[in-house]
Amino acid sequence: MRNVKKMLLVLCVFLMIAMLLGACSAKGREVVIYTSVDQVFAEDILREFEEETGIKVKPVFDVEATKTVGLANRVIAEKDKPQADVFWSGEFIMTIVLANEGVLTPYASPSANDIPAIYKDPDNLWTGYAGRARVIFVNTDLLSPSEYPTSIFDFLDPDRDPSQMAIAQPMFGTTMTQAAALYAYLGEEEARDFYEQLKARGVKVVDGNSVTRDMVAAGQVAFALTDTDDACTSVNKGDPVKVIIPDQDAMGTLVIPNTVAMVKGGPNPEEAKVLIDYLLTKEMEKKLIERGWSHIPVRPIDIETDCIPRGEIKNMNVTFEEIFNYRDMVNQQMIEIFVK
Amino acid sequence: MIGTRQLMLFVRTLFYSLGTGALVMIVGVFAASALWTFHQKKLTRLLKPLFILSCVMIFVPPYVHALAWADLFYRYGIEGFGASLWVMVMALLPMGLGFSLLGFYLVEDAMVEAGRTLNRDSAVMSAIILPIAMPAMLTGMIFAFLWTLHDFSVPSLFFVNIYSLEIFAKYSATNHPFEPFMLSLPMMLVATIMIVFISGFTKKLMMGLRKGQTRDALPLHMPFWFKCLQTIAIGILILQIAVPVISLIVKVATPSNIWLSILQARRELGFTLVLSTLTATLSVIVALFLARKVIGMEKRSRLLIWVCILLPLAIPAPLVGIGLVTLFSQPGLGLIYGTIWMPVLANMIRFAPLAFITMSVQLKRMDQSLLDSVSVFQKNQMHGFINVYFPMVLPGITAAFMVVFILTTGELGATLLVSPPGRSTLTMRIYNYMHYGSSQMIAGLCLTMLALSLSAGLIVYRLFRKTGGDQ
Repeated sequence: MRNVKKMLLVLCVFLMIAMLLGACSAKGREVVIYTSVDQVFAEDILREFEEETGIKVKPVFDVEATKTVGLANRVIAEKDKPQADVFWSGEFIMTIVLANEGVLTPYASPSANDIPAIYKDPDNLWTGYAGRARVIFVNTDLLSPSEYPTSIFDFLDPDRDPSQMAIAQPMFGTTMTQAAALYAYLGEEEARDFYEQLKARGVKVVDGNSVTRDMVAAGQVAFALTDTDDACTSVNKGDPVKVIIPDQDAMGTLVIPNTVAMVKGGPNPEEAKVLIDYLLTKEMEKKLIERGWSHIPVRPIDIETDCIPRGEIKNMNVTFEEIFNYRDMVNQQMIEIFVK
Repeated sequence: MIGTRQLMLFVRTLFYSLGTGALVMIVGVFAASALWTFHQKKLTRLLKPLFILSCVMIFVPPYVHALAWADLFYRYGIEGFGASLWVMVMALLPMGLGFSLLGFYLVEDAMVEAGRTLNRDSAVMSAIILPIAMPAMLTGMIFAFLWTLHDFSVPSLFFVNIYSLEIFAKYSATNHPFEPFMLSLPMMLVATIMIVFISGFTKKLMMGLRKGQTRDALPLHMPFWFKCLQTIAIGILILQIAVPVISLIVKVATPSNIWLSILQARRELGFTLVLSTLTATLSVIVALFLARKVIGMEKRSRLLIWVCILLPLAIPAPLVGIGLVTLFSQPGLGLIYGTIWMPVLANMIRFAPLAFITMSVQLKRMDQSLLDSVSVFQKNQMHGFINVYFPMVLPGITAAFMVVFILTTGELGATLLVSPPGRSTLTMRIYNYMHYGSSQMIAGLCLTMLALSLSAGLIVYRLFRKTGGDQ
C-alpha cells in the first residue's frame, strides 16, 4: 500500500514538473521564425543571432517528409492568429503563395539594398538571395567523364539505361519548381511530353532530393537530379560523385533563391525586422555558401566552393512569377502523370 | 468527386493495405502457434523473450525498418510493391504476433482436450482453436490494414504511390484543408467501416481475457508442413528484430556517437519527454473515466460509443494537425494556441483511443467480487479507491501510459503542425537529419528511441504479466 501511495506521489510530482516545464516561457525580447531551411544549417545561424543581439529566437523547422509545405500551410491556417514573425524559406514558390494569401507584410530591409530587383517582390513582401541550383548528380564509379550527362534531356537519351536514373517526386518541393520552370520555358506541350517520357521510360521516381543523392552516392543509380545543397553534402563526405550544372550551352539551369519575408500581424514586429536585416546581409549570404546550404550568390561575393564547378552559372531565362503561375497546373499534371 | 485514375489508385491502395494486413496476420499466427505446438521446453523458453522483443518492436517507427531494409533491397535491385509490402510487414509484425497470441489465449483448455479425444490435433487447430482466435486475428489484421492505408513514407522509398500520397500532393497544391479532406473521405469511410467491424469483437475478446486461460492441454502435434511454416514465421520474426538493430549499430559506428547524438539533441529529448508524459497522463485519465462509463452501458450504446472513441484512428495525422490549427487559431479559441497543449491535444486525439482499449481490457480483467466486497467494507469512496481499486487498475494505467507515451514520442504528422515555436521533438530532429544525410546521427537517435521503446515495452509486459499470470 505504501508503494502505491509512493507511486501516486511520484506520478503527481512528475506531472507537475512536466506541466511547469510545458507552461514556462522565456521573458524578454524574442522572435518566432518558421523556416524550411535545413535545421542543420539554420540552427547555428539563429544561435549566433541570439548571441549577437540578445534576442531569443524560437524556430519552427520544416522537415522534408512534409515536402516543405507544412509550415507554409501552418502560416496560412494561422492567418487570424499569427504565431510567426519571420518566414525563411529555402525556395520561393511557397513564399509567393503566402504573399498571395495576404499573410505577409511589406518590409524593405536595408541589408537588401544591393540585391538585384529581380530577386525582390515589387511590393517588398519578400526578398530572395543565396541561391541553390538544380543539378545533375553523377556517380563517378559508374560513369566515365565522357559519359557524364550535360543536359536534363539526357534523361530521355535512348542510349542510356533509364533504370540508372532518378528524380524526386515532381509534385513536391524544388523538383516541382523545376517542372514549373520547364513549363514556363518550353511551353506546356513540350514540357508535359518531357515528363511523360520520363515516366514512360521508367526513370526512378523517389521520395525526395536527399534520396536521389543517396542513391547516386551508393551507386544504386548512375545519375539523378537534385539540389546543390544535397549534392554538396555528399561531395564533402568524399563520396565518388560529381556535380554537373546542366544545360549551360542552351537554356541554363534553374537557380532557386532562399526567400525571407515578414509575417503580417506577427507578435514581435520590431524583432522580426532585426532578424530579417541579419539574415539578408551580404556576410550572411557568404556564410550560407561557406556552410554548404547555398551555392549561388545573387550579388557579387568573392567565394568559391570545392563542390560547384568554377565560373558563372547560366540561369534559366524565366521569372519567378512565370514559374509560380504554372504551379497549380504543373502540380495537377505531375500528379496525373506520376501518381498511378 | 474522384476521377478514374484516383479510383484505380484507391483500389490498388486497398489491395496493398489488405495484402499487408493479411500477411502480417499469417506470419503472426504461424509464429504465435509455436508456443502451443513446440515440444522442447528449451525452445519454448527461447520463444518467450523472442516474442516479447518482437512485440516491443511495435514502438520502432516504420522509417527505421525502411532505412535498414532499403540498404539491402537497393543493393539487389528489389523495389516496388513487393519491397514496400515486406517492410510494412516487418514494421507491423508485432501487431500480428500480439493479436495472434491474444486469440490463442482465448481458447479454453477443456475444449481443446475434448477435441483431442475425438479427432487429430490438426483438426482441433482448424475446427476449434483458429475459429475462436479469429476475432482477435481479424482485429490485428484490420489495425495493420489501417496503419498501412495512411503511411505513404515507406511505399515512397520503394517507388510505390498510394492514395494517401495523392491526398498529401493535393494538400501541397491547394494549401487549404477542404479539398484534401474531401479526397480523404473514401479512405476515412473504409477505415470507419473497419472500426465498426472491430468494435463488434470487443466483448468477445475481453470476456476471453477475463477468463484467463492456460496452456495445460498442450502441446499439439501438427503435421510437417505446418511446422515448416512455423519455422519460417519465426525466422521472419528474428529478421524483423535483427535487421533494424544490426543496421543501426553498424551505422552508429562507435558508442560515443550515440552519446554525441543525445547530447546534441538534449533540448528535443527534454521536450519529447515532457510532451509524451503530459499526453500519456491525460490520455490515461480520460481513458479510465470513459472505460468505466462505457463498461456499464447496455450493448447498443456501448457499440456506438466504442465506434465514436475509435473513430479518430481513421483520420490521417496531418488532417488532425491542420484541423486543430484551423480551429484554435480562431479568435476566442486561442488560449492554448502556441503552447505545448496543442501537440498534447493532437497526440491525445490520435492515441487516447488506444489508452481506452487498454483500460477497457484492464477493467474487464478485475475481480468483480473483490470490488463488491470493497464497496461494503470501505470507510468512504476515497478509502476504497486508494487501497483497492487503484492498485487493481495500476497495471492497466501503466500499460496505457507507456503505449501513449511511446507513440507520442514517435509521432510526426500532426505534431509538426502544432508544435509551439522554439520546440521540437526527437522524431522531428531525426527527420531533419535524415534529409541532411547524417547517418551516424540518425542511427544514434534511432537507437536511443529503440532503447526507450524497449524499456517501455518491457515494463508494459511485466505489469500485464503480474495481473494475467502466465499470459
